[in-house]
Amino acid sequence: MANQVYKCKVCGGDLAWDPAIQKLKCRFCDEEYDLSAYSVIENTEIDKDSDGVIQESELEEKDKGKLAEELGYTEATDDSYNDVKDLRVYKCQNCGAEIVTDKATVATHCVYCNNPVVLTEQLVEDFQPEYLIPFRIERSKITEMYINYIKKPFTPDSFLSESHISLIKGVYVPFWLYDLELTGTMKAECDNITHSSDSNYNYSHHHIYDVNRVGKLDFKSIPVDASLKIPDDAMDSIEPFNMKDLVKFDTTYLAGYLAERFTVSEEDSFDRAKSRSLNTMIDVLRKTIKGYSSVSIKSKSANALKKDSKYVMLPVYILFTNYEGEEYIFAVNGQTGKIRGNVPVDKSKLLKYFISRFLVSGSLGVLFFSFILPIFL
Amino acid sequence: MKNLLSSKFKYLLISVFMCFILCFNSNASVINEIIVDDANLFTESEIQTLESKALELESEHNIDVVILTTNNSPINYSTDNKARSYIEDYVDARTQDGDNVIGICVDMGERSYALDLTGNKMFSYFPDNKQIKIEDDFVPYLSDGNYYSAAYVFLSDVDSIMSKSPTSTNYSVGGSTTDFGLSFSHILFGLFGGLFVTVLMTMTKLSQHKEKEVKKEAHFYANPSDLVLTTNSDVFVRKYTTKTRKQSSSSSGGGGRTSTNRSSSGRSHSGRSGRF
Repeated sequence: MANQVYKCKVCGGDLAWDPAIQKLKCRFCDEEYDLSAYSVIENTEIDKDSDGVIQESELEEKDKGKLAEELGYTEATDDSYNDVKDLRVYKCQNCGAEIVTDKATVATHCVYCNNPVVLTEQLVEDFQPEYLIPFRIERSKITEMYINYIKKPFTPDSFLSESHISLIKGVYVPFWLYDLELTGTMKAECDNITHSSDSNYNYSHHHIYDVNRVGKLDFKSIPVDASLKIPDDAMDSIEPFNMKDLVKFDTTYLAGYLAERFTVSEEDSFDRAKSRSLNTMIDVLRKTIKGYSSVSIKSKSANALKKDSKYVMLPVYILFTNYEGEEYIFAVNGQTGKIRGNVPVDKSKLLKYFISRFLVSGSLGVLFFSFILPIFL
Repeated sequence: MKNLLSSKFKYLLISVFMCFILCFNSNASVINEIIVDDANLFTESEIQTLESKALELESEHNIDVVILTTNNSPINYSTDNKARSYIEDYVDARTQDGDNVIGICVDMGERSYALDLTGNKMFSYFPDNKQIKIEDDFVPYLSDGNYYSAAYVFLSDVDSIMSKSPTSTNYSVGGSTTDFGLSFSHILFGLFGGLFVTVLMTMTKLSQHKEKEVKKEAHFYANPSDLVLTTNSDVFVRKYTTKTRKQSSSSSGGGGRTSTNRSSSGRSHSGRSGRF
């Protein structure tokens, strides 16, 4: 099996997945191809044994990643991460140049011929996702969305410059999806208060109830990102993904994008899904206690039972940038376009805003206490 | 001759000064006797202490204070509480309309008490809720037979309340006591208010810069209407009732209002009364 490249059958140019038409498209002659024309998984040349496990011996030696450190490389040739020990070297099937990339990279591009490359070695055995949501947001739109997003009240002017925008890249991020069955219990003491009065006193009549709730609730496809290198907060913030768009995994979708395989196991990711679902279960149970003046929770508990889990890839545009020595990461949901990130704060803009508002509100405050409030007293 | 002129001039100066003092203090201490202890509830030393405290109050707040005790209020009072009528008449007879007076009366004959106040200044400082506070403070001492402590607590409460800003909103403001203009406290409150608003506005704006957060819930991935409740019970276990005393039929929240009534002379009074 060779590292997969996608060439136009008409002009021999590079093909990449086009989110707008949901097809492969030639960058040079605009020829469009359906998925089936280049499907790797469907027409795989990988030999499998009777259990469906790929035979390592069948992979050609030139397709295997070699340790970059041993070959003298210290940096990746693509936009992947640059921990030297994690770098591997592959050979581009198009031009023969060496591609240096992270060991978890599944899809990248050749820095010399710019050809999209899918590193099929990374997809053997358990590393092959079951499903994937294809990119639906075009890269050209990301630029505009990003520019609009970073226009915050105190964004430094330098941060708005074009140089930062070129660092946006499309990545298929590995996720685990969990289907869980939650069982929760809640006990509460609730008070229903009615009021009455006579000529001298106001009366509050308290009716106390012991409230007990036990319930079950199914959670579908709670996503937990399975990459050590992508921050959890960035991925959580661009939720939700619409899981109805999940399709069977096919390497063709990866053409033109970066992709990573998981680096956090299914077992290790489960705790996050469990913790989130437990909190929601408690919240849902609490909302069933209604119609009381006050509710005092006496005990609450919930248990999560894993019914199913899936390894999938979800589309994310991601931007790493530095400002004044601090790294900022923006993430855009490649399916819905939801964008989130921490925009740096220009302290001088912040100070100007604070002082100007304080002058106005302080003056109005003095005016209010000195001249308006006395009218009502 | 020179000495004569000089001494005349001296007398003139003293006379003008005395007139000035009298005019300046025209509103102070129009009741000569502060403690009228007809029921002999206080010792001599207690009377001296109470008078001394009352005089301090009078000079500091420019008011009149009176403490009356009696064994038998005049029998021609037809009201439920003779102490109330007694102190109102006593104050009306010795002060003029507009004077600011506060006092208490203890009638040992019918074991009743009355807190009485009159004058716009007093109405502004002592809305109904403040009167109730004073009443709640001194009446327990009356019930215990500790009359000196009751009177002393009354004077202390008056001092404490009048050391703060007036709070009542429901009385006729004679001579406009509404205090317009800049003062240190107004500026301080205004600036603090402005600072609070500014910090809130800035924090709101700043929050737009930090929209990344680790999710702690999973609401997107469950439909609450799919919840299957296997136990859903609300069991009544007990009931109880609490009561709070009404402030006053005419009182409201905030600074409170001052309920007033007309005394037999037609003058506006406010106060509380009851038995101990």
